[in-house]
Amino acid sequence: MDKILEVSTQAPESNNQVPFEFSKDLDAAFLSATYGSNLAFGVKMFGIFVNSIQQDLDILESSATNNDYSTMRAIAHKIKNNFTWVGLSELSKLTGQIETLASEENSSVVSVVKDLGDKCSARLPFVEAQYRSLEAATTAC
Amino acid sequence: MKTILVDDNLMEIEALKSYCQSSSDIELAGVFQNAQQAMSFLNKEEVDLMFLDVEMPEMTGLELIDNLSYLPQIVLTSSNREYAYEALEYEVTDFIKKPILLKRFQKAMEKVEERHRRINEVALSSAATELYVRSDGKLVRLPYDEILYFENVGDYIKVISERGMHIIYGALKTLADKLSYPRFLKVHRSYIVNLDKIVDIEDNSLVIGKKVIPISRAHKPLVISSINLI
Repeated sequence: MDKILEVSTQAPESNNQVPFEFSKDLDAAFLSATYGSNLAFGVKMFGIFVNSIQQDLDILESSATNNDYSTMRAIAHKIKNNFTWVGLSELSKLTGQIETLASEENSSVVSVVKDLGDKCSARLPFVEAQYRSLEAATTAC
Repeated sequence: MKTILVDDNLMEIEALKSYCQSSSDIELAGVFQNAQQAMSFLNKEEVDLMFLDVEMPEMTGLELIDNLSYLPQIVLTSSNREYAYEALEYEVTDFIKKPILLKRFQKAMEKVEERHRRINEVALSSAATELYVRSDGKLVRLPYDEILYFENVGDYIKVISERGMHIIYGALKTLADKLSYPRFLKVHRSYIVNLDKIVDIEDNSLVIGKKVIPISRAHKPLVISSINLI
Protein backbone atom coordinates (compact mmCIF):
# COMPACT_ATOMS: atom_id res chain seq x y z
CA MET A 1 0.00 0.00 0.00
CA ASP A 2 2.76 2.43 1.01
CA LYS A 3 4.65 1.49 -2.11
CA ILE A 4 1.61 2.24 -4.24
CA LEU A 5 1.13 5.64 -2.66
CA GLU A 6 4.78 6.39 -3.18
CA VAL A 7 4.58 5.51 -6.87
CA SER A 8 1.28 7.03 -7.76
CA THR A 9 1.52 10.33 -5.91
CA GLN A 10 4.65 11.36 -7.76
CA ALA A 11 3.87 14.52 -9.67
CA PRO A 12 5.32 14.62 -13.16
CA GLU A 13 8.00 17.22 -13.85
CA SER A 14 6.40 17.88 -17.19
CA ASN A 15 3.43 16.25 -18.91
CA ASN A 16 5.45 15.66 -22.06
CA GLN A 17 8.56 14.22 -20.44
CA VAL A 18 7.40 12.13 -17.49
CA PRO A 19 4.14 10.29 -18.06
CA PHE A 20 1.91 9.89 -15.03
CA GLU A 21 2.29 6.45 -13.50
CA PHE A 22 -0.93 4.69 -12.65
CA SER A 23 -1.21 2.35 -9.70
CA LYS A 24 -0.15 -1.22 -10.42
CA ASP A 25 -2.82 -2.39 -7.95
CA LEU A 26 -5.42 -1.24 -10.42
CA ASP A 27 -5.59 -1.95 -14.16
CA ALA A 28 -2.76 0.46 -14.95
CA ALA A 29 -2.79 -0.29 -18.68
CA PHE A 30 -6.49 0.57 -18.97
CA LEU A 31 -6.13 3.67 -16.80
CA SER A 32 -3.13 4.90 -18.74
CA ALA A 33 -4.89 4.39 -22.09
CA THR A 34 -8.04 6.08 -20.81
CA TYR A 35 -6.71 8.98 -18.74
CA GLY A 36 -3.01 9.21 -19.63
CA SER A 37 -3.46 12.14 -21.97
CA ASN A 38 -6.22 13.79 -19.94
CA LEU A 39 -5.64 13.47 -16.19
CA ALA A 40 -8.40 15.99 -15.41
CA PHE A 41 -10.84 13.54 -16.98
CA GLY A 42 -9.48 10.87 -14.64
CA VAL A 43 -9.96 13.13 -11.62
CA LYS A 44 -13.62 13.64 -12.53
CA MET A 45 -14.25 9.93 -13.08
CA PHE A 46 -12.49 8.79 -9.91
CA GLY A 47 -14.25 11.56 -7.98
CA ILE A 48 -17.69 10.37 -9.08
CA PHE A 49 -16.79 6.78 -8.20
CA VAL A 50 -15.29 7.52 -4.77
CA ASN A 51 -18.22 9.75 -3.81
CA SER A 52 -20.97 7.36 -4.85
CA ILE A 53 -19.83 3.74 -4.58
CA GLN A 54 -20.34 3.25 -0.85
CA GLN A 55 -23.94 4.45 -0.99
CA ASP A 56 -24.67 2.13 -3.94
CA LEU A 57 -23.04 -0.83 -2.17
CA ASP A 58 -25.10 -0.11 0.98
CA ILE A 59 -28.31 -0.21 -1.07
CA LEU A 60 -27.14 -3.40 -2.79
CA GLU A 61 -26.41 -5.10 0.55
CA SER A 62 -29.67 -4.04 2.18
CA SER A 63 -31.64 -5.23 -0.86
CA ALA A 64 -29.78 -8.56 -0.64
CA THR A 65 -30.77 -8.83 3.02
CA ASN A 66 -34.41 -8.24 2.03
CA ASN A 67 -34.28 -10.53 -1.03
CA ASP A 68 -35.28 -7.51 -3.11
CA TYR A 69 -34.12 -8.88 -6.48
CA SER A 70 -35.46 -5.98 -8.49
CA THR A 71 -33.40 -3.39 -6.59
CA MET A 72 -30.36 -5.68 -6.61
CA ARG A 73 -30.58 -6.01 -10.37
CA ALA A 74 -31.07 -2.26 -10.89
CA ILE A 75 -28.14 -1.26 -8.67
CA ALA A 76 -25.86 -3.94 -10.11
CA HIS A 77 -26.72 -2.76 -13.61
CA LYS A 78 -26.06 0.85 -12.61
CA ILE A 79 -22.64 0.30 -11.04
CA LYS A 80 -21.13 -2.59 -12.98
CA ASN A 81 -19.22 -0.49 -15.52
CA ASN A 82 -18.20 2.04 -12.89
CA PHE A 83 -15.64 -0.44 -11.58
CA THR A 84 -14.04 -0.68 -15.01
CA TRP A 85 -13.62 3.09 -15.17
CA VAL A 86 -11.42 2.99 -12.05
CA GLY A 87 -9.38 -0.01 -13.12
CA LEU A 88 -11.33 -2.72 -11.28
CA SER A 89 -12.68 -4.67 -14.23
CA GLU A 90 -12.77 -7.93 -12.25
CA LEU A 91 -15.36 -6.33 -9.96
CA SER A 92 -17.36 -5.31 -13.03
CA LYS A 93 -17.57 -9.00 -13.93
CA LEU A 94 -18.67 -9.90 -10.41
CA THR A 95 -21.34 -7.17 -10.51
CA GLY A 96 -22.47 -8.49 -13.88
CA GLN A 97 -23.00 -11.87 -12.19
CA ILE A 98 -25.14 -10.19 -9.54
CA GLU A 99 -27.24 -8.54 -12.23
CA THR A 100 -27.81 -11.89 -13.97
CA LEU A 101 -28.54 -13.86 -10.78
CA ALA A 102 -30.85 -11.13 -9.46
CA SER A 103 -32.81 -11.06 -12.71
CA GLU A 104 -33.21 -14.86 -12.36
CA GLU A 105 -34.21 -14.34 -8.70
CA ASN A 106 -31.52 -16.84 -7.79
CA SER A 107 -30.93 -16.83 -4.01
CA SER A 108 -27.20 -17.51 -4.46
CA VAL A 109 -26.91 -13.83 -5.43
CA VAL A 110 -26.80 -12.92 -1.74
CA SER A 111 -23.38 -14.52 -1.26
CA VAL A 112 -22.06 -12.86 -4.43
CA VAL A 113 -23.23 -9.48 -3.10
CA LYS A 114 -21.29 -10.16 0.11
CA ASP A 115 -18.24 -11.19 -1.91
CA LEU A 116 -18.46 -7.96 -3.93
CA GLY A 117 -18.73 -5.89 -0.75
CA ASP A 118 -15.65 -7.55 0.74
CA LYS A 119 -13.57 -7.24 -2.42
CA CYS A 120 -14.61 -3.64 -2.96
CA SER A 121 -13.71 -2.73 0.63
CA ALA A 122 -10.29 -4.28 0.07
CA ARG A 123 -9.67 -2.40 -3.19
CA LEU A 124 -11.27 0.94 -2.36
CA PRO A 125 -8.15 2.31 -0.60
CA PHE A 126 -6.18 1.85 -3.84
CA VAL A 127 -8.85 3.71 -5.78
CA GLU A 128 -8.88 6.52 -3.22
CA ALA A 129 -5.09 6.73 -3.35
CA GLN A 130 -5.18 6.90 -7.13
CA TYR A 131 -7.80 9.65 -6.92
CA ARG A 132 -5.58 11.68 -4.61
CA SER A 133 -2.53 11.20 -6.81
CA LEU A 134 -4.45 12.24 -9.92
CA GLU A 135 -5.71 15.33 -8.12
CA ALA A 136 -2.18 16.16 -6.99
CA ALA A 137 -0.83 15.73 -10.53
CA THR A 138 -3.49 17.95 -12.10
CA THR A 139 -3.03 20.59 -9.39
CA ALA A 140 0.72 20.56 -10.07
CA CYS A 141 0.03 21.11 -13.78
CA MET B 1 -23.47 19.01 -34.94
CA LYS B 2 -26.06 19.75 -32.25
CA THR B 3 -25.86 16.84 -29.82
CA ILE B 4 -27.52 15.62 -26.61
CA LEU B 5 -26.52 12.88 -24.17
CA VAL B 6 -29.09 10.70 -22.41
CA ASP B 7 -27.87 8.29 -19.72
CA ASP B 8 -28.74 7.65 -16.10
CA ASN B 9 -25.14 6.75 -15.22
CA LEU B 10 -23.05 9.73 -14.12
CA MET B 11 -19.72 8.18 -15.08
CA GLU B 12 -20.84 7.34 -18.62
CA ILE B 13 -22.25 10.87 -18.96
CA GLU B 14 -18.97 12.35 -17.75
CA ALA B 15 -16.98 10.25 -20.22
CA LEU B 16 -19.19 11.25 -23.15
CA LYS B 17 -19.10 14.91 -22.08
CA SER B 18 -15.32 14.81 -22.01
CA TYR B 19 -15.13 13.26 -25.51
CA CYS B 20 -17.74 15.66 -26.94
CA GLN B 21 -15.97 18.69 -25.50
CA SER B 22 -12.76 17.66 -27.24
CA SER B 23 -14.51 17.34 -30.61
CA SER B 24 -14.82 20.54 -32.64
CA ASP B 25 -17.70 19.04 -34.66
CA ILE B 26 -19.98 18.69 -31.65
CA GLU B 27 -22.08 21.36 -30.00
CA LEU B 28 -23.33 19.86 -26.75
CA ALA B 29 -26.92 21.10 -26.44
CA GLY B 30 -28.05 19.09 -23.43
CA VAL B 31 -27.29 16.32 -20.96
CA PHE B 32 -30.21 14.34 -19.53
CA GLN B 33 -30.28 11.64 -16.88
CA ASN B 34 -33.67 10.30 -17.89
CA ALA B 35 -35.60 9.79 -21.11
CA GLN B 36 -38.59 11.97 -20.12
CA GLN B 37 -36.42 15.07 -19.74
CA ALA B 38 -34.81 14.34 -23.09
CA MET B 39 -38.23 13.92 -24.72
CA SER B 40 -39.43 17.31 -23.38
CA PHE B 41 -36.31 18.91 -24.80
CA LEU B 42 -36.63 17.17 -28.17
CA ASN B 43 -40.25 18.26 -28.49
CA LYS B 44 -39.02 21.86 -28.41
CA GLU B 45 -35.68 21.67 -30.18
CA GLU B 46 -34.28 19.63 -33.04
CA VAL B 47 -30.85 18.07 -32.69
CA ASP B 48 -28.56 16.31 -35.15
CA LEU B 49 -27.26 13.59 -32.86
CA MET B 50 -28.20 11.80 -29.65
CA PHE B 51 -26.12 9.38 -27.59
CA LEU B 52 -28.83 7.31 -25.97
CA ASP B 53 -28.61 4.70 -23.22
CA VAL B 54 -31.01 1.79 -23.69
CA GLU B 55 -31.64 0.71 -20.12
CA MET B 56 -32.97 3.52 -17.97
CA PRO B 57 -35.68 3.40 -15.28
CA GLU B 58 -39.20 4.72 -16.05
CA MET B 59 -38.67 5.08 -19.80
CA THR B 60 -36.07 3.16 -21.82
CA GLY B 61 -34.06 4.60 -24.67
CA LEU B 62 -36.02 2.50 -27.17
CA GLU B 63 -39.32 3.83 -25.79
CA LEU B 64 -37.96 7.35 -26.21
CA ILE B 65 -37.21 6.62 -29.88
CA ASP B 66 -40.74 5.23 -30.33
CA ASN B 67 -42.23 8.46 -28.93
CA LEU B 68 -40.28 10.98 -30.99
CA SER B 69 -41.91 12.80 -33.89
CA TYR B 70 -38.59 13.05 -35.73
CA LEU B 71 -35.36 11.09 -35.49
CA PRO B 72 -31.94 12.62 -35.24
CA GLN B 73 -28.93 10.36 -35.73
CA ILE B 74 -28.77 8.03 -32.74
CA VAL B 75 -25.86 6.19 -31.18
CA LEU B 76 -27.34 3.61 -28.82
CA THR B 77 -25.29 2.66 -25.78
CA SER B 78 -25.72 -0.25 -23.42
CA SER B 79 -23.69 -2.54 -21.21
CA ASN B 80 -25.65 -5.48 -22.62
CA ARG B 81 -24.60 -6.69 -26.04
CA GLU B 82 -28.05 -8.19 -26.64
CA TYR B 83 -29.38 -4.71 -27.54
CA ALA B 84 -27.18 -4.66 -30.64
CA TYR B 85 -30.02 -6.52 -32.41
CA GLU B 86 -32.54 -3.81 -31.43
CA ALA B 87 -30.05 -1.21 -32.64
CA LEU B 88 -30.16 -2.86 -36.06
CA GLU B 89 -33.96 -2.97 -36.02
CA TYR B 90 -34.15 0.73 -35.17
CA GLU B 91 -31.60 1.56 -37.90
CA VAL B 92 -29.55 3.71 -35.54
CA THR B 93 -26.18 5.00 -36.71
CA ASP B 94 -24.16 2.91 -34.27
CA PHE B 95 -24.33 0.77 -31.15
CA ILE B 96 -21.63 1.00 -28.50
CA LYS B 97 -21.18 -1.46 -25.69
CA LYS B 98 -20.30 0.26 -22.42
CA PRO B 99 -17.98 1.36 -21.03
CA ILE B 100 -17.57 3.82 -23.89
CA LEU B 101 -13.87 4.35 -24.51
CA LEU B 102 -12.47 7.22 -26.55
CA LYS B 103 -11.41 5.12 -29.56
CA ARG B 104 -14.85 3.55 -29.84
CA PHE B 105 -16.47 6.98 -29.51
CA GLN B 106 -14.26 8.27 -32.34
CA LYS B 107 -15.23 5.33 -34.53
CA ALA B 108 -18.91 6.05 -33.88
CA MET B 109 -18.34 9.70 -34.78
CA GLU B 110 -16.82 8.65 -38.10
CA LYS B 111 -20.05 6.79 -38.88
CA VAL B 112 -22.13 9.76 -37.72
CA GLU B 113 -20.18 12.17 -39.93
CA GLU B 114 -20.43 9.87 -42.94
CA ARG B 115 -24.20 9.58 -42.55
CA HIS B 116 -24.47 13.36 -41.95
CA ARG B 117 -22.55 13.97 -45.19
CA ARG B 118 -24.82 11.61 -47.15
CA ILE B 119 -27.98 13.21 -45.71
CA ASN B 120 -26.70 16.67 -46.71
CA GLU B 121 -25.87 15.48 -50.22
CA VAL B 122 -29.36 14.09 -50.68
CA ALA B 123 -30.92 17.29 -49.27
CA LEU B 124 -28.80 19.47 -51.58
CA SER B 125 -29.66 17.35 -54.57
CA SER B 126 -33.37 17.60 -53.66
CA ALA B 127 -33.14 21.38 -53.14
CA ALA B 128 -31.79 21.76 -56.67
CA THR B 129 -34.88 20.25 -58.31
CA GLU B 130 -37.88 20.40 -56.02
CA LEU B 131 -39.48 21.64 -52.84
CA TYR B 132 -41.94 20.16 -50.39
CA VAL B 133 -44.90 22.05 -48.91
CA ARG B 134 -47.10 21.09 -45.98
CA SER B 135 -50.67 20.61 -47.13
CA ASP B 136 -53.56 18.89 -45.29
CA GLY B 137 -51.16 17.16 -42.92
CA LYS B 138 -49.01 15.85 -45.76
CA LEU B 139 -45.74 16.92 -47.32
CA VAL B 140 -46.44 17.46 -51.01
CA ARG B 141 -43.57 17.33 -53.49
CA LEU B 142 -43.51 20.09 -56.08
CA PRO B 143 -40.88 19.81 -58.83
CA TYR B 144 -39.60 23.30 -59.70
CA ASP B 145 -40.46 22.89 -63.36
CA GLU B 146 -44.14 22.42 -62.48
CA ILE B 147 -44.37 25.59 -60.38
CA LEU B 148 -45.87 28.61 -62.18
CA TYR B 149 -45.42 31.32 -59.56
CA PHE B 150 -45.49 32.27 -55.86
CA GLU B 151 -47.79 35.01 -54.62
CA ASN B 152 -47.50 36.75 -51.26
CA VAL B 153 -50.86 37.20 -49.50
CA GLY B 154 -50.52 38.73 -46.03
CA ASP B 155 -48.60 36.31 -43.82
CA TYR B 156 -49.01 33.49 -46.36
CA ILE B 157 -47.68 32.48 -49.75
CA LYS B 158 -49.77 30.92 -52.48
CA VAL B 159 -47.79 28.35 -54.45
CA ILE B 160 -49.39 27.93 -57.88
CA SER B 161 -48.29 24.86 -59.78
CA GLU B 162 -49.54 23.04 -62.87
CA ARG B 163 -51.31 20.61 -60.54
CA GLY B 164 -53.02 23.14 -58.27
CA MET B 165 -52.56 25.64 -55.48
CA HIS B 166 -51.02 25.28 -52.01
CA ILE B 167 -50.91 27.87 -49.26
CA ILE B 168 -47.93 27.99 -46.92
CA TYR B 169 -47.14 30.24 -43.98
CA GLY B 170 -44.15 32.54 -44.42
CA ALA B 171 -42.64 35.53 -46.14
CA LEU B 172 -41.67 35.72 -49.81
CA LYS B 173 -38.19 36.97 -48.87
CA THR B 174 -37.52 33.90 -46.70
CA LEU B 175 -38.82 31.63 -49.44
CA ALA B 176 -36.64 33.33 -52.07
CA ASP B 177 -33.55 32.57 -49.98
CA LYS B 178 -34.44 28.86 -49.94
CA LEU B 179 -35.11 28.48 -53.67
CA SER B 180 -32.04 27.34 -55.51
CA TYR B 181 -33.64 27.19 -58.96
CA PRO B 182 -32.14 29.78 -61.34
CA ARG B 183 -35.35 30.15 -63.36
CA PHE B 184 -37.29 31.65 -60.43
CA LEU B 185 -37.23 35.43 -60.45
CA LYS B 186 -38.80 38.00 -58.16
CA VAL B 187 -40.70 40.41 -60.40
CA HIS B 188 -42.65 42.30 -57.75
CA ARG B 189 -42.63 42.52 -53.94
CA SER B 190 -45.53 40.03 -53.96
CA TYR B 191 -44.51 37.69 -56.79
CA ILE B 192 -41.79 35.21 -57.69
CA VAL B 193 -42.34 33.67 -61.12
CA ASN B 194 -40.95 30.72 -63.07
CA LEU B 195 -39.43 32.35 -66.14
CA ASP B 196 -40.05 29.19 -68.18
CA LYS B 197 -43.80 29.55 -67.68
CA ILE B 198 -44.20 33.12 -68.97
CA VAL B 199 -46.59 33.38 -71.92
CA ASP B 200 -45.90 37.04 -72.69
CA ILE B 201 -44.69 40.28 -71.20
CA GLU B 202 -46.43 43.60 -71.71
CA ASP B 203 -45.20 46.90 -70.29
CA ASN B 204 -45.44 46.43 -66.53
CA SER B 205 -46.97 42.97 -66.36
CA LEU B 206 -46.49 39.43 -67.54
CA VAL B 207 -48.85 36.55 -68.11
CA ILE B 208 -48.53 33.02 -66.79
CA GLY B 209 -51.45 30.80 -67.69
CA LYS B 210 -54.34 33.22 -67.46
CA LYS B 211 -52.87 35.16 -64.54
CA VAL B 212 -51.65 38.70 -65.14
CA ILE B 213 -48.74 39.39 -62.79
CA PRO B 214 -47.45 42.92 -62.21
CA ILE B 215 -43.76 43.71 -62.76
CA SER B 216 -42.50 46.47 -60.50
CA ARG B 217 -40.38 49.27 -61.94
CA ALA B 218 -37.47 48.22 -59.75
CA HIS B 219 -37.55 44.61 -60.96
CA LYS B 220 -38.21 45.25 -64.66
CA PRO B 221 -34.53 45.62 -65.75
CA LEU B 222 -33.74 42.23 -64.17
CA VAL B 223 -36.72 40.63 -65.93
CA ILE B 224 -35.61 42.00 -69.28
CA SER B 225 -32.02 40.91 -68.75
CA SER B 226 -33.18 37.40 -67.77
CA ILE B 227 -35.03 36.68 -71.01
CA ASN B 228 -33.62 35.96 -74.46
CA LEU B 229 -34.82 39.16 -76.12
CA ILE B 230 -33.91 39.32 -79.81
